[in-house]
Amino acid sequence: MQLLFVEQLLNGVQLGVILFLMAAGLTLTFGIMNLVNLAHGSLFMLGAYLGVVFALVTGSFVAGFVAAGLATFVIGLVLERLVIRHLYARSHLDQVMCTVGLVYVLNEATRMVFGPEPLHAPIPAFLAGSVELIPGAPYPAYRLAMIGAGLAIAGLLYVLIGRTRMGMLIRAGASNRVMTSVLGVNIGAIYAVVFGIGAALAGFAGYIAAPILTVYPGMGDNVLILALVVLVVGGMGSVKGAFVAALLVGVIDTIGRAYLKDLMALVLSPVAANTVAPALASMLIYILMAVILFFRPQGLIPAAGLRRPEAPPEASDHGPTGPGVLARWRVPAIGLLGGAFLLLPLVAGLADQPFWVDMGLRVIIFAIAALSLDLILGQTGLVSFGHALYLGIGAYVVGILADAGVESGFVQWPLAMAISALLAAALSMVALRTSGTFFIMITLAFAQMMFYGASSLYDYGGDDGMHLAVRSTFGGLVDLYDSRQFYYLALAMLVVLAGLNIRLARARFGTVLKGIRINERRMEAAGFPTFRYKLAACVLSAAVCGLAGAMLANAAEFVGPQYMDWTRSAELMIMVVAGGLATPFGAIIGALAYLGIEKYLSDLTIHWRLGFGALLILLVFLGRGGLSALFAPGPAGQTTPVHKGSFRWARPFFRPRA
Amino acid sequence: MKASILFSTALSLLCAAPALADPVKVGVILPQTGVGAVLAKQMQAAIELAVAHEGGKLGGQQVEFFWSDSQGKADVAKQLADEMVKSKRVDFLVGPVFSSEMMAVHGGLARTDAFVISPISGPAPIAGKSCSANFFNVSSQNDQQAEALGAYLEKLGVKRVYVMTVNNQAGKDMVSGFKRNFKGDLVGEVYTRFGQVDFAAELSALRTAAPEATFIFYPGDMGVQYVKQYAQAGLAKSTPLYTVWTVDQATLPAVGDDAIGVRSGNVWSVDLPNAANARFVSDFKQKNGFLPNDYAAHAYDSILLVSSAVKAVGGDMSRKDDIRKALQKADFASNRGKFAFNTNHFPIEDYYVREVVKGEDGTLVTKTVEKVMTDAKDAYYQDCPLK
Repeated sequence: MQLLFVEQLLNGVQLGVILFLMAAGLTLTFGIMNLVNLAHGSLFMLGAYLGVVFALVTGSFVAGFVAAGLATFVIGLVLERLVIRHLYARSHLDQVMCTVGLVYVLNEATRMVFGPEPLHAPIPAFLAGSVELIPGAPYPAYRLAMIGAGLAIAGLLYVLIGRTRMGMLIRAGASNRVMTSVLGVNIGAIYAVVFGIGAALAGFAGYIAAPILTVYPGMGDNVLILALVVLVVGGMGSVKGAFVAALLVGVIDTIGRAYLKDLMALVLSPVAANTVAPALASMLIYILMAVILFFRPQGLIPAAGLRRPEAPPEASDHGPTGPGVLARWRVPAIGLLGGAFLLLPLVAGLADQPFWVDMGLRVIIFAIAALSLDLILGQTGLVSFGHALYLGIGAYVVGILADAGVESGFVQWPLAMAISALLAAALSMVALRTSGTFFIMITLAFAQMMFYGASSLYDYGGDDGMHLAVRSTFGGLVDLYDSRQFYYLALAMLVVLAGLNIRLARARFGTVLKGIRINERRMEAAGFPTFRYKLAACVLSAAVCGLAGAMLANAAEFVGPQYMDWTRSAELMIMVVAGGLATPFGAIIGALAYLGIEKYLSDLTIHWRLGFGALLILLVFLGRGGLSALFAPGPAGQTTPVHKGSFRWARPFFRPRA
Repeated sequence: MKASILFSTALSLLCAAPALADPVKVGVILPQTGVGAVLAKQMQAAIELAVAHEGGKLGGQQVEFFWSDSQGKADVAKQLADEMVKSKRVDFLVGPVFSSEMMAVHGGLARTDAFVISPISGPAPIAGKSCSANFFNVSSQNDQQAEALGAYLEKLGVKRVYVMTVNNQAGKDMVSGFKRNFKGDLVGEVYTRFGQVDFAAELSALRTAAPEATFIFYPGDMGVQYVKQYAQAGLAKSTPLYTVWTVDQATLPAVGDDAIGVRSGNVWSVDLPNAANARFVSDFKQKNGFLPNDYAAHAYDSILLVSSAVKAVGGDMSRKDDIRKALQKADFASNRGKFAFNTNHFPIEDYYVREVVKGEDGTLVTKTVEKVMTDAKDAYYQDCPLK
């Protein structure tokens, strides 16, 4: 029994070592450049692909190892130069958006070059067997080598940062950027090198893990989430913290997977233990993260002596400074949008394409969800990366009730809203204690935790989800099986909610939220209980999102954990940003644009994600204020553009860098 | 003169009539991206081969295919299925592949009059209580391969087996099927998350339990990693590995020599001795450069089934009842030799045990060891109201 435990410990250390390599790069970029880089998982993937291909071509495992690191270092430098460099002065939200776009582009490009089938990385012959470290327990030699390689790289990193001139310059730049720059050091080059080192670490991690994990486009995304947890638990900006946290997370995850079932079997029946244990094991790390953050918000070993560049505002509030190009056609545009929504079922009937009504319904439902997110993201400036959680909660409430025979929408839908609101209240009490990037991470973690929780609901389909037994009934008033009736019901709700949103924004509540977004400390000083306002906003937005979830479950006739996935949250964020933060119709325009472009591009080519990602990156750089900015009136209400064709969109490139 | 003009016009109109008939529309939903990508590639190649073997048409009619990518995700599959049936108005829907996708899709489609041909997945509910008249499964009910292996291990006198599979409907079906015929001791029953490919922790525990044999179900890439890691952990020598839907011709090259000796239970094999199979395998290999796997074999049969139904109604897609009867009749040359449907539209067929061996030319092939069940029916057909 002890032998097995030691073996599991080793397994945990092996996982931890990989996580450390990933997290080290992330923590360096965050600590030194204050940059949230979600494309790190793609760098992991690229390291695996390039290294494995090189190893297959040259026949040498070690050559592949070197190639993986070198190639990703170069790619990191190139990315930094082209894209990342421009993000340092931008808000964390913009960084998230842009790097998510990069993920789309890099993953799809990899799929185009290497094909969608997984690449299989062979283990070299000299590492293929097992080693009897402890007599009687053969341990795969390759995994031992992984641990060794990871520790060696960690050691090299330590030496690099702590004992070389380059490391000294990096630490100086992190400590006080301006002074270092004044002393004649090229800070831009330092940043590029740091990003490159981070990328190389991810590349090494990808290559080392390749034989175990299978090399396929998108392989890095799950590792990224774990690395983010490590990052936050260890303390952002702290390499030592990342090391400790990585080992902790790796060991707890592995031991959890190995022993939780037996532990649960003591309390529950074996069948129940079998089902609950895998899911609970997945949730374990997120629970750990939440607990650690609750008691120690800066992480386990916070980076000491690091004076980071002044944190930019979380959500960019730099809307358009003047009237948009199409401001004159603002009113007709709204009329056109409204008319299109109203008349869609008629047009669909004439064209004999009833499916259009279903698509329109989807747009409306996501518009409602995006509207709810706009309340906290756009108006209050809280970058919540876990909003899709409430979409899922609303859906599950409807699904579970329908399965139990409670079909009435009058019971299901308000309950969906209520439960979402309650859950939001509980989670936000914890999450709102943090701020900035920690808030992003903790909302992400909570959503992932509930995602795994939902996956464990075996009676309701577990991982796969379930078909909705019957659509909500409304006592004969509305028949949801009639597409038109459903559509108009949803449209009516959207109109009411959009109207309420506009009223709210102009009322005292909305104005306080705006003040909190712009400068929370000032609002506190003025005497406003900002925590309560933020909490109220979170609860309200969760309730509306829960309603959207209830409708989505009915429209899709399907309920599953996929609704809560972090990629779904990212989609909602993109919709809100694309439409225009804190604008009356931004959420609606954003949902329409997102779903419309996605449908159009995916019909065009199977590689639509490439174009989509590119559009996202362009949006971050060119689309200040989102699509609404095109129609926005100037500050004094004027609608005539001051300078026609003045390349207003190019102005951001010429803003002074921090 | 007038009469001849009239006569020739009438004649040409008569000849033009069949040409004016709409092509048969077939929608295909495959997991072209994600962990099922390699399976989708096999199936697409098989479908194209089947159409070629039928002379570029189905049942003598022009056919229009609508291909789509479900990414292996149930919600995407549902959306695609809705679109295929309501917008593109397909006559036949082939796919989706995974049981999770099929469960999401089936309920909604049962309300329409579309014919769903499932090439692979056969979840228990659809074989039993929730069966539908327009659903036809061409491969087998999910439990059955496992039932075959359970019977085989029981026959061999094995007493202690360790079971590992994915934590979803398909996985549970496999395990319950195995337990139906295997009466020995399950020293371990472990469910892992779908998509988990690193089994270090679980394999360590397996070694400690010291079973006589291991039974697993890990489709696609999870299976590849499992078999490799199983061998690396030194278990392949001590504990024989029995699998369903895990190791097949498509994934063998990826696993390599670690797969030698792994056994599986199945209804089809590359070396099944019948004329249709010989033609299928050799043409597939020639056209694509690699051998087909079970997914491909069943996808091929799906198209032949559709073709036979189209031929029976002469291309008239409005005769739904006749199409249904023709599908039920299953009058086509399957690569399994004989083929017949049960009352719940699941096949009645023979089951074999196969083993991975190294062929004369050095490539890995699955070789049939022995037949385990003959004309087996699934365990749920009596719950199905269809008679």
